[in-house]
Amino acid sequence: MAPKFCLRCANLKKVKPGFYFLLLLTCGLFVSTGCRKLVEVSSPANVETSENVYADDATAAAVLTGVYTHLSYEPIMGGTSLPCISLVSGLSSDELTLFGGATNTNTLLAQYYLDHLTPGVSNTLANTSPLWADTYAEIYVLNIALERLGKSANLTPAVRNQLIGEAKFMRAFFYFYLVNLYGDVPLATTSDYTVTSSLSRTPAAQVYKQITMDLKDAKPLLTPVYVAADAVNSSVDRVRPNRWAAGALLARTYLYNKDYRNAESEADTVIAQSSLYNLTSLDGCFLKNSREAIWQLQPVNSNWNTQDAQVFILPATGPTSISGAYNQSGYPVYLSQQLLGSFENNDARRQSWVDSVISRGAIYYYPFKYKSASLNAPLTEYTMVLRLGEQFLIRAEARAMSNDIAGSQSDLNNIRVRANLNPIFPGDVASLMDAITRERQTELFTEWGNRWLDLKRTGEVNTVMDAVAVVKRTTWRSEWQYYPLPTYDIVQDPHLVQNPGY
Amino acid sequence: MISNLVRGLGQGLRTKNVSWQKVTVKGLATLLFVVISTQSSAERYSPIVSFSGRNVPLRTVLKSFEKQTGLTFFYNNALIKDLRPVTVEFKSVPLEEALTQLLKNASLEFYESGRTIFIVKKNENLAPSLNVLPSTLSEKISVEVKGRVTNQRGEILAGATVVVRNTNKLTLTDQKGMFELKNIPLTSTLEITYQGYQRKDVQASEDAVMEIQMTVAENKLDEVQVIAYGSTSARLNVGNVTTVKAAEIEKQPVNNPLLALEGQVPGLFILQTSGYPGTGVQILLRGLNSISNGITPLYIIDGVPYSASTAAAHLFGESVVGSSNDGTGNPFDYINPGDIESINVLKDADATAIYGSRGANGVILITTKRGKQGSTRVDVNYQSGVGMMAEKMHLLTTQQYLLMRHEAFANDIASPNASSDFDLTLWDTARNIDWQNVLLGGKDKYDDAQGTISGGNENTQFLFGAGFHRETTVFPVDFHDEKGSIHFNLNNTSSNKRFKVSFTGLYMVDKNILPITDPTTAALTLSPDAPSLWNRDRSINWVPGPSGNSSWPSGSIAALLSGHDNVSANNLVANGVISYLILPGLEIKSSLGYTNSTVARVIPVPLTMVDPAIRQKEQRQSSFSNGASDSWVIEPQLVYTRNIMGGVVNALIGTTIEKDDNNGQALQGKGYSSDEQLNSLQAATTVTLISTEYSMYRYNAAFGRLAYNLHNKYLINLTSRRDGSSRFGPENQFHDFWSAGAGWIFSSENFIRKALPVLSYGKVRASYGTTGSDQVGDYTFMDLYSTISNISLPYQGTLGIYPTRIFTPNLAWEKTAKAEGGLELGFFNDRILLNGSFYLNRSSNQLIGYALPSISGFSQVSRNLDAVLQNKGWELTLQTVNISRKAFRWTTNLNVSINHNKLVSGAPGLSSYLTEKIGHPINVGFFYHYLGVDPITGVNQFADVNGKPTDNPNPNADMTQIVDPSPGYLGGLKNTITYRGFQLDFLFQFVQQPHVLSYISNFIPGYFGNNYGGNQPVGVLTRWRKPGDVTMVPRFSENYSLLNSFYYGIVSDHDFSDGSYFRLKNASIYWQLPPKWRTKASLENAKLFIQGQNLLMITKYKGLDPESMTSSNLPPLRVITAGVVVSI
Repeated sequence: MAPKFCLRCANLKKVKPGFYFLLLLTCGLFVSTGCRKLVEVSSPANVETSENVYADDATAAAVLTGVYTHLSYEPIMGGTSLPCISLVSGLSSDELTLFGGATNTNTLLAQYYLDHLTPGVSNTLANTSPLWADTYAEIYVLNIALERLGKSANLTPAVRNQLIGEAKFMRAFFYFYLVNLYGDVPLATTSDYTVTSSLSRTPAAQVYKQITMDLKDAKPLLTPVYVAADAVNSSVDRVRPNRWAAGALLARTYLYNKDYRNAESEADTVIAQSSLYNLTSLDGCFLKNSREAIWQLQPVNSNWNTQDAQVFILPATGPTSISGAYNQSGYPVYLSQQLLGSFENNDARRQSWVDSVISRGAIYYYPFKYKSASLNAPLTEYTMVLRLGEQFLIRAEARAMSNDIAGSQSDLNNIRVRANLNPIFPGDVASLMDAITRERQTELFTEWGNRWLDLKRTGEVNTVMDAVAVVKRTTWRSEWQYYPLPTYDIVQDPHLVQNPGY
Repeated sequence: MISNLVRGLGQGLRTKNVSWQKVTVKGLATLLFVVISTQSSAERYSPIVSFSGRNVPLRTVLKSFEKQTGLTFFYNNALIKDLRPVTVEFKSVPLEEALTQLLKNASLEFYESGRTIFIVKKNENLAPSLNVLPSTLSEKISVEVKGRVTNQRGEILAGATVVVRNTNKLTLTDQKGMFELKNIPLTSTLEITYQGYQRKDVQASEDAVMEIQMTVAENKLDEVQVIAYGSTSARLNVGNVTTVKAAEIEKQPVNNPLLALEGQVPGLFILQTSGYPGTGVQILLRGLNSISNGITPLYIIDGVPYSASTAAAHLFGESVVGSSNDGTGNPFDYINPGDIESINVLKDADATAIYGSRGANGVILITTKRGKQGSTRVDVNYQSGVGMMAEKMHLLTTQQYLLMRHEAFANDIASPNASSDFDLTLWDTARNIDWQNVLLGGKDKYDDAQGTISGGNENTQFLFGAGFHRETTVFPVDFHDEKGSIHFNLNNTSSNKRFKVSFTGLYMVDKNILPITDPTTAALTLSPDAPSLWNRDRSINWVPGPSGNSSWPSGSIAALLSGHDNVSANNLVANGVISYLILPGLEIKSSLGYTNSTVARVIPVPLTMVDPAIRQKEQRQSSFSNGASDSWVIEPQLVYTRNIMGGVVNALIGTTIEKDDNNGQALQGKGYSSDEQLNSLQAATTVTLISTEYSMYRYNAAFGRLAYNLHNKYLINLTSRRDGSSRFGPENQFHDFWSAGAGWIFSSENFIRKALPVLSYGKVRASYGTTGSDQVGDYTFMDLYSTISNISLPYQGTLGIYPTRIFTPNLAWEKTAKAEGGLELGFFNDRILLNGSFYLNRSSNQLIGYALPSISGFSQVSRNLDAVLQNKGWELTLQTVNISRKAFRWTTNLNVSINHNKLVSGAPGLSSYLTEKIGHPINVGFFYHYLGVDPITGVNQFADVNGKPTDNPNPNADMTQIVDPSPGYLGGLKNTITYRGFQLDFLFQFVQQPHVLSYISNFIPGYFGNNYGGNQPVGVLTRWRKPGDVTMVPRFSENYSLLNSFYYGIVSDHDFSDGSYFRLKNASIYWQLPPKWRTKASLENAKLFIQGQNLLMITKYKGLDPESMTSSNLPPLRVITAGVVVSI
């Protein structure tokens, strides 16, 4: 046996390098099996993984930029993004008339106009809850952004704070509209679909609590100045929310919840930023970077100004009945007699913010807050989301309800004077509130559903809508002040219950 | 006499045991007695032998018998050496008879024991006195033997098993082919087995070192069968593997090796999607295992995983050869069939579970040719031939066509419109053209040349091969596919046989020039009076209509045919294996593989392709796309083989590390100033990036196998694998798979041998295990962010990004549990081999898009659902040697397989469309039930949900007819007949598929202008003409009024018909030149041959071809070639 063994040794020596190489390789590889590193991949070159996105200032900021871009980009005619609220809630309430009424071939807009909404079956087709799916899609983005930003250690602290602030602000902003349009809504504050896919509806008060909390968190995180796309350098454009945008929305939230003291104080703080904000002339109000603007959206279609202008401003041919829910062209709406009738004589806003065409022997009035609606016109206007004028009206109302009659009158008259109206001095809360309500109607018409929301929060909705229903040749039911949830969601999430009346 | 024998046997033992003689004598005599009585009690099958010779030594005759029968002849040399030479003439005589005759004059007799024939001196007196049992003998007399095992070429066979018959003793040969056995009974028979060789039984001999030469197995049972990380033989395999060898592949004039498997592998459904060179091939093994994800098997070439899809060149859409899942053709178009030694299809859990997450859809192992020891050899194979359309459709002649058109106008009370009904108003109605002839009637020229040089010595072997293949198309314009390939293999073994290295490479360059649009649809739909495609000067005949625009309804076919889709591909598959034998039986090895594939396409659109009337508005453009994929894999393994407890244990552990990269881009160039510049991107004034693609895949696994083989009778095989894949989220990145298999070769049991002597081979086997599928696409689990596109004015000058899908960290593997049972039988010395398998595969954890409420942010998430998809089936193969004479041999090989697919159960979250399919095969569809034409109105009628006829069915309620288009049974029947130098092979393929989509009509019969005109199959002539007519063809109509009705018809059961077919898939005749001629030319081998593919077909299918089942693609062609094979 011994010689054989030696032979083996000799052989081993002869092939040593190869053998050891293999042995090493084998051992090394066995040890490494099951190692995560070996099955980790980098992301494809044309897209980013969330890990990379939130590890870099620029890409993290681009996520929020994406949210604003979507808001600004999605068409509002038969659209699915929140800005279409100016159009659809204008139709639901008493601001806009649909050309042809029930006979308008745009059945979607007709349903809004007639307040007869049919819950949409599919979430993919534009349906009568168009805001729902897209708004929750953005909330998902904000939730995941907040989760990742919270954990990300690589970002510049200033950027990280600003972005968390923006995300919280935006989440509050979306929930504010959801709770106002749908009543109790499921409150998704996580990106985990196993949680969010089985949520039930959260009472509105709790949703408001979340909104308030988010805004209070956001305020100190956001910079007082406006920042550029990098979320740190300052910018003349007011297209990213800043600290005062959070304050302005907070003021509105408090007002809606009848917390007048806080509403007043928040509005106070915003109005006090006179280095940033003033009431501008009526014609200058909706221009880009207007000093009235607290937050605007920048149009993202290089050939056009705002989408509102494109939809509202009627051509010489007048309004049209358009076909198909997806048709983004066409001019199906004009201002209602109720709205036109609510202007006092000599109201400069009636001249500056309303225009008309005569077509087929009839005169049609249309919103003219945004004035540029032609292709290839220079970019002069941005979509106004929050502005100083509303803050005066919020404070006027908060002060009135806190019995600060003089303070309230002063705020109200600030708005009236700008509109070339005489100051008024109603002496009691009730008449003061009447004046403020009317002022809100004429000041904030076709802007982000203010009128529709006001009607509901003040409880006036049934009285007003009963009367309007006659004009619209429809019927009104109190339950219809809340839009229906998409049937699709109710099918997929059995915990969701449809709003009554649908 | 026996004493002589005993002396002979015992010579070497004398020193060890002095008292052996008497005992041995008695023992042997008892043995003799026992054997003889056994023999007389059972009718034994006697092998047939032939021999003729004058004055030949007896020993030569016996040697020849040994060779012919595979039996071992045992005799004392001294006994026969002095005998006189014999003159005999045996012609297919039973061995028994031959021996009796041969030995009767020499006072010798014989008896058979096991597979050994003992020849002894006649002595009647001795036998009765013997009464000692043989076991006593073996206990008392033991010897030590040494031997060396080699093959016919003298190559060492290391690892051969040497078993001492009827004992538990066994050993394995070492790296030098040596073995040593101690203390074995003197008269032992040694059974030597080695994969791929016939078993050899030899009598143990103490004389020096026994030289044992093994013969390569010619029988199917003992041929080498490649399995995962190793090899075995059909006899000893516990799993289900079907092997197709080079000899069968070479007989088929195909350009894709997968196509050579058609009809040859039970359970494998192959579909050639078109008749182009470089065609798309769809492959499905044992049914669909996944509801919405990949179903292709795992392909492995020489140990290197090979991508199932071509490099990202589909960026401009599929080329005309593309198939639904393969993008541009099929990656096996870039593998030369001539380089392949064998293709092994692994099916059951035992065979595939070791591939874990990639084994669910089966595994196809491809082994390429290797250099062999021996003098340098040159093989050349050249063939040339033609391909043509196999079947044509019967379409209307101009006379019938005009009748249809005029009747349509009469029905609609209308008259032809000069600005659109060109077939009646502008074209020459006297023309009657068979467009199938014009467009598809050409001859595809087929040329293929292969050459290899191979050889080597004991330590180094090499092979170098080169191939060239050129094929044109049947179209009237020159398109062609040209492939050049090289193949090399180098093996080296160190002189001590411990260190081995092997290197193999395959490389192919393919240039495929294809039309941009398949003219098949045009051939079927062009009106028979359409004008000629080209003018006399070969310029395009645009035939302007009254408006000045061309009157060709869908553009000029000549223009389409003048467009080229240029596909260039390079493909490299390389691998190396290094191994080292650390200790006897323990080998460490590592396989290293690399593949690289690039595909580039250029699709120029010159202005000449555009109608001159609108040319000024158009600009020249050219599309460029290129894709590249490369992958590398390292698989170190430890293999240990040892005999334990009377059996052989084979253990394997290994690990796999793999990384694949894919990337590609598509660009478009515009603004060229001339048609000549279109092949270059530089000449374009504007270049647009259309899309890019990039993906990476990483994979890591550890695997092991433990096999135990006891007495070549009892077989156990356990495998396991732990897989990690980058395609899954962090929470489920790793998963374990396993299998257990067992086999029992019951024919080796003595009681079976006695009870069923006709049964020469019998095995039952069973396996169960789990496999998975990770064919879910890369990055599915990741929450990726994309840039918002279509924004012309970026927000704040920055492009925003957004998450494209929901983060699903717990995405997991689809699982397939496979159970299989098999019974394999061989009769009459394996002349009849029967192999039956039953399997039940259940795939669960299906990855499906799961609907989410929109409040989750996305309407869908990829999620594993508990839906269970089942495939259950039978496979049967029957191989028979019908006639086996020296000059004439006829063998038949039949296989049939049946698969039943069923969606067994769903789960909450399954879409309603899928929920409806529960209890049905997954690829059923829901259709209207067609009720024929309304006899009153002449319009199609369908059954509504209540069975009432309606001409306007409701899509939400009335689609109640369930149609299952999957094949019922399929199989192949192959016959091989050899007669002297001739060999004739023919392979029939049959598929039973009662409900497949057929070609009933081209659009609304009577209408002109859809597709390329208005021609129809002749079947439309049975149309409705007047109230009361009962028919299945609606009234002719020249307008759109029957449009809806037509579309309802397409989604009704009317458009499905029997697509079963029986096809002579392949036939070949080879003629081996007579030896005299060959010797003269000093050729080792020289054959002439004729081969044919898709030669005949019997089918009731309505349409061009029931295999491709499409009327928009050129069907698979009939190819006939003739060629020559020469070896020097």
